[in-house]
Amino acid sequence: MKRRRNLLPLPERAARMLARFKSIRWLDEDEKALFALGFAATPEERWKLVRNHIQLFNSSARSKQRV
Amino acid sequence: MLVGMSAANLQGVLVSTVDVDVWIGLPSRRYMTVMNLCRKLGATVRSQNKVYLSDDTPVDFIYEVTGLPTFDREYQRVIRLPFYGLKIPVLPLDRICKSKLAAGRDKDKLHILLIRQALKLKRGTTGKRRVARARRRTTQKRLARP
Repeated sequence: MKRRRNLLPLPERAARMLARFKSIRWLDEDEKALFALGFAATPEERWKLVRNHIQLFNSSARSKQRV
Repeated sequence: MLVGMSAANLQGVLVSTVDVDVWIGLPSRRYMTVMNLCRKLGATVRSQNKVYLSDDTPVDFIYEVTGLPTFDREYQRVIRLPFYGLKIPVLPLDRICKSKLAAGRDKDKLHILLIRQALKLKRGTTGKRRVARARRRTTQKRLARP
């Protein structure tokens, strides 16, 4: 049976991934940070990040409707 | 298998997409099999190929993908990603890019660019590690020789 490694917190993993992209010249820093976050996250975390982003739009639309 | 931008999301391309696209390995005339299964799971059926899950997530069922061969052929090269205790089959990034290129829609242009950038980055980071690991192994073997 495979043992699951204890993962570091996502911001720390993202910072490590970003450090790997240091030498890349064809992306700006914001894009690098976004890709670093995406690559460092587990599939579940990636899913949550995107779902939260979409729910942000949904909730704002609903709150406008209520008003 | 999971296709489209939600599949790209699970592979590290953080782009917001509204619906989840699932490619079904059945002929489209058998859509009722899928719909009945969705009803059993508590989803709301909107049309022949669209349902809303209990958490309001829209799911699209696709029976053919533009630019890609048959389901069975693509299924041979899927990536299985761990997702909430399951291993779900996901279409690889290069294949998603190929299907989007074939579809040629305006809305896909940004997605194609982002997928290409992600692929380039992945090749850059994992490729170097793989080469380094292979080199280390060969030197270890050389040293182990009597």
